[in-house]
Amino acid sequence: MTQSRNCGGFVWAENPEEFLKIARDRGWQEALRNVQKKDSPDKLREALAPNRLGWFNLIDVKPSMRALDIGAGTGGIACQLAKKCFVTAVDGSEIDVEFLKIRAQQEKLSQLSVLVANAVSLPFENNYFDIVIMNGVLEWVATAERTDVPPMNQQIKALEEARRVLKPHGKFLLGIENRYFWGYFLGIPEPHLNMKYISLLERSDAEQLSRNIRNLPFREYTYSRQEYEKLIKEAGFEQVETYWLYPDYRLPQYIIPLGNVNAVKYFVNELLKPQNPDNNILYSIYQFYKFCDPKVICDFVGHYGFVCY
Amino acid sequence: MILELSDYIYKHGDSWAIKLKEKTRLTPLLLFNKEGNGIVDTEKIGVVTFWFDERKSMPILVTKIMDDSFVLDFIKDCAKEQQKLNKIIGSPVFPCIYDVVKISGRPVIFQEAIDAPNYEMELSRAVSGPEGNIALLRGIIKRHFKEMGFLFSCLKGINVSQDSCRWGDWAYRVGKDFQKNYGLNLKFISQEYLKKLRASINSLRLQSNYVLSDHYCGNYFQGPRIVDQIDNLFRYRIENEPGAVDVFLFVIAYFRTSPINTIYRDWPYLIATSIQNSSNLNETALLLRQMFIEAGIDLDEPRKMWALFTVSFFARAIDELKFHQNNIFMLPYLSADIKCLARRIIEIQDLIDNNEILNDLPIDDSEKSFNPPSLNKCDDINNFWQPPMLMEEDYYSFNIVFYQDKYYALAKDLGSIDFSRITSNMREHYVQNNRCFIAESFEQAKEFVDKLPELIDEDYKGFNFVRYKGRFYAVLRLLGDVDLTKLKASVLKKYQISGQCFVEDSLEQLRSVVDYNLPELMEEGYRGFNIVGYKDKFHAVSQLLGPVDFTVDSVNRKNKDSKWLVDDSYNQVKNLVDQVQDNLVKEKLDEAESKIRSLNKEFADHGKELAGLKSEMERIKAESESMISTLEQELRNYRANYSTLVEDMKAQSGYLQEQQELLSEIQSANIFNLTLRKLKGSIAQKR
Repeated sequence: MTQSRNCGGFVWAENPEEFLKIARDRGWQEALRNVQKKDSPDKLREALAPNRLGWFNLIDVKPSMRALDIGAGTGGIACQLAKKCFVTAVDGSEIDVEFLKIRAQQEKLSQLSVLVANAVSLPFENNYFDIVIMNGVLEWVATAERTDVPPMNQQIKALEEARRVLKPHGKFLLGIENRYFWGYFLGIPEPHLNMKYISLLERSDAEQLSRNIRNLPFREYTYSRQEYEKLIKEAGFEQVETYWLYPDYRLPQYIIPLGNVNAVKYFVNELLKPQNPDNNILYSIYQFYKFCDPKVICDFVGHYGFVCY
Repeated sequence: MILELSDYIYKHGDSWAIKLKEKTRLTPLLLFNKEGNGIVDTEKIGVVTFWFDERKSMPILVTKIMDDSFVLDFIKDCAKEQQKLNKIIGSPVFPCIYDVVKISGRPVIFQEAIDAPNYEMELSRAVSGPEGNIALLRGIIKRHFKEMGFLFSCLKGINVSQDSCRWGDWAYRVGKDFQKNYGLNLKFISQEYLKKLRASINSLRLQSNYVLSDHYCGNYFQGPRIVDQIDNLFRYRIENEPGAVDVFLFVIAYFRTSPINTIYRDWPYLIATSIQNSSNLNETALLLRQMFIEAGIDLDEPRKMWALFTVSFFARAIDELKFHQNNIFMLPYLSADIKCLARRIIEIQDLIDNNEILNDLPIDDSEKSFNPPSLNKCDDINNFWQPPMLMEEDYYSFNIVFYQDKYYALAKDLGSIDFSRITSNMREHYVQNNRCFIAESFEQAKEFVDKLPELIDEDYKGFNFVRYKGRFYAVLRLLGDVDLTKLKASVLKKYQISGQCFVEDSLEQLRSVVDYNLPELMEEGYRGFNIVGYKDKFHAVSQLLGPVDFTVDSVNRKNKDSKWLVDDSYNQVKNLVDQVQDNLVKEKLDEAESKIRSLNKEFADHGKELAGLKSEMERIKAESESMISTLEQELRNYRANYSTLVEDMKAQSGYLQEQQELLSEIQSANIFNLTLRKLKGSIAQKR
């Protein structure tokens, strides 16, 4: 068993054998609950909550379809989607894959197959899947193997791989953070590195800072909305629909089409609930959204969802 | 799903007065039911979609994907009721519902989008939004209470039957529910208390209308309401709770919004104070009182007020407890919250008692004997709430849980259990379907489980092994779902005879019987046959037959032709195969020999012809060889001439070179002579 990755927010590797043993003996939920106590309260919720599939509402899912979940983690998406169509879940972490196998077995998900694979070299033939999902994964692909290849090239390669295995009329769903989330300007730490302001710096400065502070190169690149759209098109997709996933892409409660300024305006004015004034940063973000032009808001939201085809 | 909705809108939108232009591109803004974010494994969550086109700043339409516990006719009835109310009131209080259809198995409401403020949102923003201030908050509360009072006064005139609608019965049920099914100490609410509650509310004249609402909060105000909470009890609640006219429940819904809760934490106290005839009411209580007066609520009916207040109190407490019970496996982490809630409930009750709020109400002389009973509070807060206890996990696929002095055997596949649900209609459903048993003792619960069919082994050689009433059944999986509890003896016998079902006293016996009765592949592909052990015999089945059913084919086909052979032992059946295959080989050899003989004859006939052809070929060969030797000689001569020619050319080339050199010498000599002559000429001239 290899040591698990230190990305995607999951750090099972403290004692992976014990984690998997609990999953086998006492059930996968218990294993997650066990981690939950030590780590974050959201593990089980993320693995179970039905709106993990929220933005699958935007595409057509038919029982005969084949879907690929890249970076499936604990199977929050893959396991629920496997009740609707055939799903192949891949992850770079052997622990996650082993865990997913246990979960699939315990949930009797006969439509789910799981394997270890790297997002930049998928072991599938061309034009094989109807749906490909990459939720909170693209930013990590350059960290899976520490190479000299620039992170952006690795990320484009991963997108190209997604395009390659996707059928011509298939849909690719990409969920990811915005490099220029307004909260980062106000001092919210960038979640992948847990460092303030790092995503806002020039890449070279961020690299230096990352090496100085955590003794690791900076490879967890996120981008602006326009940059994402450019990368996606460079990877071979012709059409991109961009959505604001609020509060985040993991458990979206609202999905706002950024292509329609009126919808953004309506969301901010009518649906977005005020934040508690005691929380200065969140309150400031709310104020920013409230008083900004909707076109500007689109560039400073927290999480994007892209539907590409 | 959203794509299907947009297709439906494109198809029917023109008939809904939303006037879609040709090629209008509809953009969806999705909102998921926030409870869907919760821990509970709910596959189906409500989705509200606001549809925008390119032209307008407002959504042109709202769709709501509902939980499938909704019945279309029920929603349609509600929609009609709402429109009727709109007409009577004279303003579009309720948004128009264009259509209600089932799409992909989910009921979907297509509803008008109205540009109007959402009260909850307005309150939230007034409290914590950047534009918020106290004056704004006061204004909003005042306006909305006024609107609500007006609305209730309108509703009051509608459909009030002369007889009581007996909402007291409903309140009594709520109280009992609260008392029995929410893990509360039974002493908390006395039977006498509930009876008085029922009598008081039943004497009120309340409407029986209901309108479609989002959980508690009715669509009293304009605007596209969102589906906050959807659960399977929705229909039950909307049909049984005093819908449009239960002012108190509605007020509760208002104050449940979280920022508001921070201000009106003790809303029962607010309601209680608002119904006092006191000049010292605070501003909000006064507004609330004005609303009640405007709504035509009789504030001089203390017993009724007390009863309504209490039932509101129950409803809210149930709602909070229900949330925790829905998340039952979180209890170890949430028990502190439950205790806090219990403490708060008791504190509020204390507050009411200490301030003698209810006792201050004017009471008619004839009713002087009436004294609102107090709740019997528990001394020990830890005993206030008794969470379910898991007594034994996975007892033959059941969990045995102790709860409220009863033992529940619950099928594990029911997943996360909300105890409030299994105590109502669903409990009956579960019990009827053998998914739940309620027993007085742990042993009794186990006995119940023992009597149930339990799947022990799935797919053992095509059979499911089931333990039922102390015996073990093997049921052929191809039979599909077989309910052993309902299986007639005659049918069982039929299954047994045909080898589709076996019954034994122990699992080992059952396995051996199944093994005995099941064909077992002994050797695959022995000279084109599969050797199979079946019952006491050994069968050799030709692979050419493909998949076969032994229960039928072993009888019909055996020994009828050479493709299905049967004998008593493995070797014997193999011998049979050998015989059959040897015979087959011999037949084929004979056939081949005869073919060879006829071919030989044919060869003899063609022999002479072949000899002639051979001599002709030899003649041609000799001629060819002679021609080749002639050509070779010619080639040699040619080569000799060629080399002579080359020598001549070389010789001529040397001669030419010599001539060339001579010529160049002559030219040099000529130049020399010419130069000499010129020199001589010039010398002569000089001389």
